[in-house]
Amino acid sequence: MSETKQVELTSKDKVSFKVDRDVILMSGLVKDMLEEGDEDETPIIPIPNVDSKPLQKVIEYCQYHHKEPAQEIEKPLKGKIEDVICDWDKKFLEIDQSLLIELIMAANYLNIKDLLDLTCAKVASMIKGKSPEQIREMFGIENDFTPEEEAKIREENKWCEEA
Amino acid sequence: MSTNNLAQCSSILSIDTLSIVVSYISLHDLCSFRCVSSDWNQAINFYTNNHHDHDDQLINIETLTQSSPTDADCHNNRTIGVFWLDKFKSFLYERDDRLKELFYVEHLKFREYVERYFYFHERRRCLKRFKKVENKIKNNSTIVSKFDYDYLKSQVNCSNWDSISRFIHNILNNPNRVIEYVESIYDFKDIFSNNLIYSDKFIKECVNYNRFLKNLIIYFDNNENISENVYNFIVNNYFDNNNIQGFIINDSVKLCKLLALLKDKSITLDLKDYNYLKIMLLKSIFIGYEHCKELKNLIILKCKTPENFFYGGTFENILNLVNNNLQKIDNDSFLKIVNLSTLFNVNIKDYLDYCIEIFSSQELQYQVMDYKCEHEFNNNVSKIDEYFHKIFPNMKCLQTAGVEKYYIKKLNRNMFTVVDNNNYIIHKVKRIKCYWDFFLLGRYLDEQFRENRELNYFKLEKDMCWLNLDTLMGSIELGSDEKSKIEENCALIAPRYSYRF
Repeated sequence: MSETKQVELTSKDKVSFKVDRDVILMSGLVKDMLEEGDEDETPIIPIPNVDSKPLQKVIEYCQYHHKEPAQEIEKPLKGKIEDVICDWDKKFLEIDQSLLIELIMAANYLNIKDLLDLTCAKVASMIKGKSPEQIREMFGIENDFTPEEEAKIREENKWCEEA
Repeated sequence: MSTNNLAQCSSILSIDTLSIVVSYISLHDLCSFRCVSSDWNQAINFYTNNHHDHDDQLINIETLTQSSPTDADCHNNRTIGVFWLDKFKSFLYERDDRLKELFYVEHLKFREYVERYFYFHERRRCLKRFKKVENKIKNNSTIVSKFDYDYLKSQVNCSNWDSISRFIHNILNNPNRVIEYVESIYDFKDIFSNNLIYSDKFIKECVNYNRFLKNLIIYFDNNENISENVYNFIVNNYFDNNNIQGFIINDSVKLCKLLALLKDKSITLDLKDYNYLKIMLLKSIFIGYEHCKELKNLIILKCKTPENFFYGGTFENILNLVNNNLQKIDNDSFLKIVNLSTLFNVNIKDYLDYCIEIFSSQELQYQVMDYKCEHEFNNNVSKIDEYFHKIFPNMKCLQTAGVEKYYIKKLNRNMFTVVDNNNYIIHKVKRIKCYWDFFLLGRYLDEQFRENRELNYFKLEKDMCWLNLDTLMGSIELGSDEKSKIEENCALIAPRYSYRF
């Protein structure tokens, strides 16, 4: 029985994670990098844009879903995201909002489509029914619209809210 | 992570990442999402502009225009597509007003379907499909009528008269859509029946109704299958305007049918615009349309100045019509033509001369002569006599016989006799040939003895109407028993027979 090939990922904060090659191939970024390198060695891949905490979550996600492929989340969400994802994903998403945002960026950077979809859908689920002010407060976003600009957007999109 | 860090993180979410979030939000949240920040607003635009190359979703936009989603459909599919819908709306705004109206009419339905079918990556495909639907909508009266109805109903219910007038204006500018509007007009009347207060704009559009009606006539002229609704609509709306100007219909059957519907209408027609109408009227006589009798009465009633009926260059047209339809002419038709001519004081002399010249058939010559008697010769006995003798030399035998009374007896189907008041048989006539011969004979006899109104005439029966003056023969004596039969079978040959119409 041959030994499982591994890849060593190094986070932004210099924490290393050894991951099975098959697992981390879920990342498009890593996959591309591995294809360019020597297959006989244990590659060390720096992930300079991702801290260890979200990177660990990414690895956790890949370790589970490389055997249990994620189901596509229907677009747009019909209701809460918890209603359409598996129990494992539900537990996986039990994280604070800051980690969720980091996770989105990590998934985006590492090009892990299923994870990106899952986390973005989570955000969509969170803002459902919220006002712009509540969304800004939730995510700490500064309103860069002038009152006139915002009023114009509201007027132009009023018909959407009449649904 | 602190709030500040969170803010830092979320603010650096790239627009393309945000656009993925966008793909999961519902229509309800679209406006809020846009208003969060300029980045979030751009994320929506980014999404709609960059997701159009996938072919994994078919858009059944034709279905959009034809059926409504069920409640369950709405409930289950009520979600995004919003961005697409946003673009969709823009697209509609950029195109014709009618589609814009359509969008508003059905926007709820559109939205539901868009949410169901229009995922973000479908823009290009959607536009292409929508273009087809656009054409379909323009060409399919059934679909549009339904929309028209629903739309008007919705607008009337909210007293949106500006919108209604705009809608009507759009219809007026599209002749192809006039007919479907008419088809539904009675339904539309229901819509408006309880809404009597209209805006100025609306009333202004209604004033333009004549334009609409003109379009209707154009349609009426060019289409074979006209529904009862259209006829009724024209009668109820067009003629009530006391304005027949521009009313031109190429099909005499349609015209007859239409005018027949007018018989109970109290309207006045302006004869100066009537040339075409009267030509068609005459033409209708040739084809023996069932309403032509009503038409005649109608024209009599409606025409303000009947003497002008054949004014202008139309007389030649009439003659051409006669000529071109010669094969279709039967006696009744001819009588009707002349009868109409009489009613409108046509210069029948010109007409008759023309007919004699161009019509080779003896039957028609007889007809012409019959009318010459009345119109050209003004029932002058000597002139008639002279004229008849030119054509029927055998009539001399009657004249020279000096008989005072003439009877015609039907001996059998093909045989007649002419007898005097003593039942002395003057002529025996055989060989059926011409209905008009009989008229001429009767006319002649009548004129000969105009002053003696005690003449007894045989009753003019249908199967007695065939008599050939050319075959008049010498008198034949009758027996006494035959005399009584003559009394039974004979009836007055009234001078009115050729004017009985």
